[in-house]
Amino acid sequence: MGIPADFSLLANILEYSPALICAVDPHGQLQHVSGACRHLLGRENNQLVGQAFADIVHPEDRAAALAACERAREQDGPVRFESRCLNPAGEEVVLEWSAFRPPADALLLCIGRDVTEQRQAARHAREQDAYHRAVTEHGFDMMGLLSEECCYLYVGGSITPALGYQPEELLGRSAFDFIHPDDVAAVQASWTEQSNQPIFTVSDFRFRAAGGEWRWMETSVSNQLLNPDIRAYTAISRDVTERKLSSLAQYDSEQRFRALFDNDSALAAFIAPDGRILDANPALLAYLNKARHEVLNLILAGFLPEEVRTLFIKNRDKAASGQKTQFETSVQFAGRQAQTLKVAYTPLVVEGAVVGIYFTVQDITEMAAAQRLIKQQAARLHMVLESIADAFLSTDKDWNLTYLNSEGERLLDLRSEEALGKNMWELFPEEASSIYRQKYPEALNNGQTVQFETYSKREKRWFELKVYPFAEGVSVFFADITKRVESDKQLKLLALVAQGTVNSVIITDAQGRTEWVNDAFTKDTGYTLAEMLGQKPGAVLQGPETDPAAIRRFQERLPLPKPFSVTVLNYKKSGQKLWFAMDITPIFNDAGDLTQFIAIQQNINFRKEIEASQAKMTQDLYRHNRDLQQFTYVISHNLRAPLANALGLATVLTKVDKNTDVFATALANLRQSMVQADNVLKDLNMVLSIRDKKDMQPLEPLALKEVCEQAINNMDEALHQCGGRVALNVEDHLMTRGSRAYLYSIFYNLLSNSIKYRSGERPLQVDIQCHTGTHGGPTITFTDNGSGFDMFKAGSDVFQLYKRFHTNQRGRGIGLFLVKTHVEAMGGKIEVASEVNFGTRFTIHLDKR
Amino acid sequence: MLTYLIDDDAVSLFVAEQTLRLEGFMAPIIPFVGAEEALAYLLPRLVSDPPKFIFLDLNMPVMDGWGFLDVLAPHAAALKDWCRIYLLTSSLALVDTEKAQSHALVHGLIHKPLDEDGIRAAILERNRTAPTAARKFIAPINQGGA
Repeated sequence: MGIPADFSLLANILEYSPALICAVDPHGQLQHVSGACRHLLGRENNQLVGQAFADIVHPEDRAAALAACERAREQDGPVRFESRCLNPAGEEVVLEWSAFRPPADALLLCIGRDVTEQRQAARHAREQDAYHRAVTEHGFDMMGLLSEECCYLYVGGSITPALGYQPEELLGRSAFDFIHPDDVAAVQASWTEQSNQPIFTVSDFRFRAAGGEWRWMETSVSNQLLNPDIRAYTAISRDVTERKLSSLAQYDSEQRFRALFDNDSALAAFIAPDGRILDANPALLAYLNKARHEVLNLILAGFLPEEVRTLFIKNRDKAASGQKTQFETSVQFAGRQAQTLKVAYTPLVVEGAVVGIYFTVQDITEMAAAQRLIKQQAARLHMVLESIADAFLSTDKDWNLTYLNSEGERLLDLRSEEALGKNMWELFPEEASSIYRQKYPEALNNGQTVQFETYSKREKRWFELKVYPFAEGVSVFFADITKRVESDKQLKLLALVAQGTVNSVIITDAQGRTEWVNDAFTKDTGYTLAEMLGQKPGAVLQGPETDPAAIRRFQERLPLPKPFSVTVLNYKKSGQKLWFAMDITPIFNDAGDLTQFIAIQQNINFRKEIEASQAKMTQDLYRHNRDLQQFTYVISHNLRAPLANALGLATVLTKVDKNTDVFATALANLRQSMVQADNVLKDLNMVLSIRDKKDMQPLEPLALKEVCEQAINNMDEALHQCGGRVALNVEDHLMTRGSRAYLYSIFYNLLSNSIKYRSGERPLQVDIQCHTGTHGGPTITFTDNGSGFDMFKAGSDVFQLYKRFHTNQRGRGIGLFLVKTHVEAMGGKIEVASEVNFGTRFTIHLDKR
Repeated sequence: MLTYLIDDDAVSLFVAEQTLRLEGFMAPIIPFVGAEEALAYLLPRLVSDPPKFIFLDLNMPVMDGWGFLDVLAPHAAALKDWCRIYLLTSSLALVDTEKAQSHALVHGLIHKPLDEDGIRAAILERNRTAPTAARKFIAPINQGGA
C-alpha cells in the first residue's frame, strides 16, 4: 500500500477507528475505506475500494447522500448528513456522516459514525409516544395519574368519548368524588389494603359520567410514587358497565332459577338424557322422602310405582329426543292416597343437543278433583238447562251464541252444534233491527233483567223473553206464548162481552178468590170490583138464609172438572135478598191445571118471587084440598054413622017383637041416631059458614082482656060447680084485630075443654096470660092442670074435627077444631103442648091490631 | 063361634049384636066400647080362647081400629088360621077399603050397618076353607063398597 511509516499511525487509526472513513474521488468512487466497514457493512475494505460510494448507501437515501457529498466538495467545512446503509444481513445501519474536502485535494473524506441504535431508540421513542397517544386518546381504557391523595394529576383523552368529561374538568379533583357512594367504602378498602403493591386492582365501582349516569369501572392501579419520572399512581380504568350488568343479570337469573328450583312447591329435578338425576329440588326430595345424595345419579323412574314407570320413561325418552312432553297421570304410592300428577319433561337444548331434561311434577289432585267437580257441575247445569221447560240461550258480550238448550232448538228450529259460536244477529238477520237488538243490549248495559214479549216473524210465534245479564254476556229465557197471547185476545173479546152482558160475571182464581167482576155484578149486588178483589164471593154474598144445601153443593162440585149450576140466595150490599142462578165453569190451562172459575149469574129474584107465591098458592091449595078430604071423611064417617045405625035399627025393628025390650031400645036408639045426624049437619053448617065468611068477616079492634073476661063470666057456673079457678093476666091495652065472636069462641071452647077434661085428682086451675109476643102481636098462653093427652099418640089429629082423645068424657071432637078454625080465620096460629096427668098448654099468636 | 064386637058407638054395638042374634049367632057375643078394652080382654086369651070373629070399628077415640090391628100384628101367625077380623065402618072412604084389602089380618070390610048379607058372607067365607064348604056361596066380602 505504499504508505509511509509515519503513515502507519494513520493507517492504524483507519484500520481500527469505529467510524467508517471513506475517501471518495471526484467520480464518486471509493478510493479508501476504513476497517470499520467490516462490522458496519460486513464487507472487506478491498471489496469496497473502486465501488461507488452510492452503492453502500440505502437506495432511498442515495440521492440525498450524493447531494450532500456534492455540497461538501464545493464548500469549505464539513457537511453533515445521515444515511442508511445495508449490512450483509440486510439490516439497516444508520450512519451519521461528516463529509469534507481537504484543501487542494481531489478526494472527499466521508467519516460515518454508527448511530443506528440512537436512531432506533429515538424512533422507538417516537413510535411509543404516538402509540401511547393513540391509545390514550382513542382506546377504551381511560388513563389517569393520581396523586398520593387520589387527586387527578393527568387524565387520558379517552375520558371524553367514554364518560363525556373534558380531561381538565377532572384535574385536581379527588377520584372518590365521582365514585358511587355505595361503592366508595369497598374501593377505599381495597385501595388501602393494596396500595403498597406495585400493581393492584380495586374492586369494581360505579363512576358518575358527565351526564349523571353511573358507569361500572374496572380499574387497575400501578404505584409509581417512587418512580422519579412519574411520582404518581397510574390508574387504568375500563367501562365494564355492559359486562357488569349482564353478569349481574346472569347472576340474578341463576339465583332466581336456583331459588325457583329449590323453593318451587312443584317437584322438580334436572336429569340427564339417560334419566339419571343430576339435581333434585327439596320438594321432590321431600316427596320421595330421600336425601339429595340418595337420589343423585340414580334413575328417576326407579323411585316411582311400577305401574307408571313405563309412562314416565316413554315421555322422558321423548324429551331426550328434544320434544317437550307433558302428561297427567294418577299415581298411587304405597300407603298413600292416589294422586293426580301433572308431569312435564322439558329438554334443555344446547347447540342442537339435548344436554339435560328439566323434570317437573305438580300434584293436581285437588285441581283435578275441582275440575271433575266443575265438570260435574257443568253437566248438572247442562241438565238443568236442558230440563227447564222454558227455552234458554246465552250469548257472550259480542252476541255470539254460547248455549242453546233443546227446547230452544225446537222453538228456534236451530241445531245447537251448528249455531253455537255464531253471532245472534247473523243467525237471525231479520231480527237484527228489531226489538231484540234494542232489549238485549239494554239488559247488558244496565245490568238489569229485561222482560218483553214480541212476535217472531221468522217462527210465526209470540215469544216471551226474559234477558238476564251476567258477567260474560246475557242469558235469555224464552217461551212460546202464542197460545196465551191468542187466548188473551179471546179473553179480551170475552171480557167485552162479559162487560156488556146483563148477567153478573165473576172470575176467580183457582182458589176461588175474585179477580174480576163486571158492571152488571156491581149493579146487581152493589159491590164494586175493588171491594170484591181477592175476596171469595160466597163469603161476601151469602147470608143467614142462604141454603146450607146450596153451599154444600158448591163445595162438592167445585173440585170437579165440570161446569155446574146452582141456585143460591145471596145478599146485596144493602142487605136485600138476591137470588142468583149461577153457572160455574172451571177454566184449565194446557197442562190441565185449574186456573180460574168463571161464574155467570142471573138475577132471578123476579122468578123466585113468582116461585114463592106459587109455592104459597100450592100450599094453600094443598091445605084446602086436605081440608076438603077431611070434610069428605067427616061426612063419610060422622054423618053416615048415625044414618047407618038408623038403617040397621030399622031392620032390627022389623024383625023383633014390639013388646020386647029390644024393640024399645032399638026405637030409642033410632031417635038418638037421628038427633046425632042432625047435630053433625048443624056442625058442618057452622064450620062451613066460618070458612065462607073468613074473607068477608069485618075485622074490628078487640080488647083481649074484655073478650076473655066475658067468656070466663059465661063459664062461671060450670067453673064454680067443679071448683075450678081461672087466673087471668092481660097486658094493659093489649089489642088485636078480628071478629069478637071468634075470639070469644076461642076462649069459651078452651075453657070448656079444660073443665070437661079436668083431672079428677085435683081442682082445676087455669092460667091465661096475654102479652105482646116476639112477632109484634098478642100472644096468649092458656094453661090448665087437667088430665092432658099423649102428644105422641095424638099427633096431628089434636085440632081435627070429631077427633077425640078421651073415652070417659063425652065430646063430639069439635071444640078444638073450632078453636083452630077461628084462630086461623083471624090470621093467627095455634100450638099445643100436653102431658098426660099434668096438663095442657095452648099458645096462640094473633095479629096485632 | 065366639064373636067380639068393638065399637065406641053404643048404638052401633046394639045394632050389630041384634042383627047377629037375628041371624042365629048362638055363641057368646062380647061387645067392647074401645079397642084398648078389647085388647085387654083378648091378649091373655089369644091362644086358649080366641074369638072366631072380630067385627072392628075403625073410627074410635084414643085407639082406632088400625091401632088395634097394629097391636095384634106380632100375633098374626097365631090368629091367622082361627080368627077372622072384619072391619065394620060407617066410612065410605075409598082409602079405608084399599087399606083393608092389603092388610094381612083383615079378612074383609063391611059397611055399616051390619046386615044379613054381610053376616052370611062372613060365615060362608069362613066355611069355604072347610071340606064341606059350599063353594057357590063364595063372594067378595066388600062388594057393597063405595
